[in-house]
Amino acid sequence: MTPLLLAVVLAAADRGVLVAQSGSIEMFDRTATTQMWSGEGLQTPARIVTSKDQAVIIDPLASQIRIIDLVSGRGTTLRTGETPIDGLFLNGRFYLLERDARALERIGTDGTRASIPLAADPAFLRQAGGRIYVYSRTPGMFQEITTSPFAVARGVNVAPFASDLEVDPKNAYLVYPRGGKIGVVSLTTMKSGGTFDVGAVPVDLAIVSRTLAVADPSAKRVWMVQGQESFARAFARGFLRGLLGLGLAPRNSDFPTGVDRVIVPYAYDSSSGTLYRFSKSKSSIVAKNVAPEGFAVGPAGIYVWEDAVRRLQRFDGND
Amino acid sequence: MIVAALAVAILAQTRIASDFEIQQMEQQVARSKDFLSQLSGHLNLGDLRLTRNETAVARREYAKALEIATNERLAARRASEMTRYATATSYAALAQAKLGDAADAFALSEEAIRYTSDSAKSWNLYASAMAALGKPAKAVSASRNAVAIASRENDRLDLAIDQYALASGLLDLNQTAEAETLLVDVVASLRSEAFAPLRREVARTESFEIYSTARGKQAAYISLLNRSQLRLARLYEDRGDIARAREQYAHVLADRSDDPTALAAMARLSTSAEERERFYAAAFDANPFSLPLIRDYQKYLSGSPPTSGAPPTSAATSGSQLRLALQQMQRGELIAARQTIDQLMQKFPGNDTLQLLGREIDERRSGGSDLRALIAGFNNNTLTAQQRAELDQKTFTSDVIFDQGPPFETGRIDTVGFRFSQPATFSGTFAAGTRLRLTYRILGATQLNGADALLLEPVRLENPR
Repeated sequence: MTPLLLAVVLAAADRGVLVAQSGSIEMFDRTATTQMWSGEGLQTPARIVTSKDQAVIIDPLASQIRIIDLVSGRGTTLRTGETPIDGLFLNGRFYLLERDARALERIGTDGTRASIPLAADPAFLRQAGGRIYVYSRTPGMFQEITTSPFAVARGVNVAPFASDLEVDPKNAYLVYPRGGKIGVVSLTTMKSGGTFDVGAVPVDLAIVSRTLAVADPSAKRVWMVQGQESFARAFARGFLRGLLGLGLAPRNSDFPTGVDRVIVPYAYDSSSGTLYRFSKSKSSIVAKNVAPEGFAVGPAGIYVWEDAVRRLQRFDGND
Repeated sequence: MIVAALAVAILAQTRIASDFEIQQMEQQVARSKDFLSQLSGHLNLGDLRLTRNETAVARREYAKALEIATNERLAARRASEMTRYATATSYAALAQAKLGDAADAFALSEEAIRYTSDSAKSWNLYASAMAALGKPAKAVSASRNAVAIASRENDRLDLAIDQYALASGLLDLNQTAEAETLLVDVVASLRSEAFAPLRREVARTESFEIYSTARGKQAAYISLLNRSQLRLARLYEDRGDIARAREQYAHVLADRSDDPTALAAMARLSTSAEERERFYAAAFDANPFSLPLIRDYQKYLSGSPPTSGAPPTSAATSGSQLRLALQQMQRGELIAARQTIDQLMQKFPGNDTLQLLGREIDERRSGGSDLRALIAGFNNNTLTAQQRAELDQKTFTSDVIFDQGPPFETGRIDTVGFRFSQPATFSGTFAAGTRLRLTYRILGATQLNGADALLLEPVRLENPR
């Protein structure tokens, strides 16, 4: 088995592609051929969050972030609450999810900081309609947070232990590997919309238009679910059981190994580090030995850090 | 009690306390080929070796555990068995953490928990990995998740394991109040009637082994009770509640009379010299290579009369040999101390503690003054022919104190001993034990009462001005 490939984290921004490695960060142009600048990074980067002008490298192990100006590459390193795992920019401010501190922190452009407490094990952070949504995994708490005032506005108890959360303008979707289900929460009412079965061990979810793509490493498949259709039927029947089940829906995509991450039209197998591109039922390998954060999808294609040759590669849709 | 009797029998054989567990784990690894037997065997062997400061061997065991866990991950993934994959990934994370690879350990822990965030055991393994990496805040958070999940389930032993892990993390964060409450609860729970059947089973099977990765309820119960009481005792000791600390340590020793940690603590907390000597002797027999114990003992020796630290002549066990070496170091008998350490190193060639003590002795032998550096030069044969020729021509003058005489044969220049090649008398009135001024030539290095010394040729002796 390929050992976990950790060294590189990529992010595609409007200005180009960011490549963070231990202690450094570089920015390349959109063609992935020209380095625009390089600068100081963090020791164990795990994620990069970008806005138009800024990027934030997140180091959950060291509980640090580095806020970087995308034009110059200069930045500031900040100590955070324990285990920052994700962040997002909203209305010019940066919001950081600190899982083991059980907090959401707001960091302004002037450096001012504010924090609100969350339920235990806040594992996922998303935004929709100018609001922030956090799912706390162990207790199964789904919370909506407003930015002004910076406060928890609403919360709803849902099933605990989801492995992923995605939101669209109307709903939140939670993936439950153990039960093989997708849970739905209406963002309008903040009430649970029930669950429906998908695959054997669904782990990761992506939303494209009204379609849910669900990575299922056990079935070595990405399940495609029509979102709007699903909900109409789900609400009509109370919940959808066996919408797809283990049946062969024609648009599902099969893979030679179990994929556990999906960014349509790409899927990734963490255990082997294999990145695939898929279309309908077919899949093809884009690259091997890729780190879990070692690829990023941008408007000009997918960018992949090839560790063997230590180069950034770009693949367009035709590769 | 059968468990205690067994432990006494081990002590009487003067084996190191972990010898039995190491033997058991080696047998487990040799006989049982299933994943958990192999994995827990190598992890435990690594931990046991680490308590003896045999880090190279420990790392080999952890590396083997990592290899086993990695292979299991591969097999599980191929078989599309995701829970099995997650379990193997958790153990791979723990092995990486024990090997000190923080980034990989964290990433593997995160990978495992994607699939099994509903499992208290997975969170417990996550916490163990973070604790091994020295990340107590992360360990505490993971342990809180484990406790929250275990509290909803009906397994008091599993809950106690998770509460103990949480308490350990809190202690590392110096959050003692909550930790104490948890540990008191854990110990009370383990000693309650709810565990009476398990205690009877432990007694019936005469089990007493303590492992960090315990398999089965009996092993888990024994290990958890031991560790919880030790943690609670240390908490009491650190805040000066000596009576309660001694009570908890005594509970540990009642179950296992050769527990090295409890014996070392009882030595620290002893109320009489005789008791302290007895506990130190037992602690060193239980684990001669514990650096905290060695430092404790050195501190004790440095505050005691030169004759303390008995018995210096008995070297029947590795523990008594090591105590002898420390006593020799304390008395400045560095050559003898080095010889004692060298003898131990022949028995335990990969032991870091012995190598460290050897280095400390060598540094003391070679450092501290120009004269000691000169002795080291003679001993190591590093003086050039030119330097030796210069020494032959040169005379030195120092304040000295003779041990006895006249005639005079041995004495000290500051703390450096010297000896004449034969007894010497000088014209004038001079006495031993008083400061005199000696002019001399340096002939070479020798030994005096087991310590390095200079071999001198006297030229002239005067009373100081």
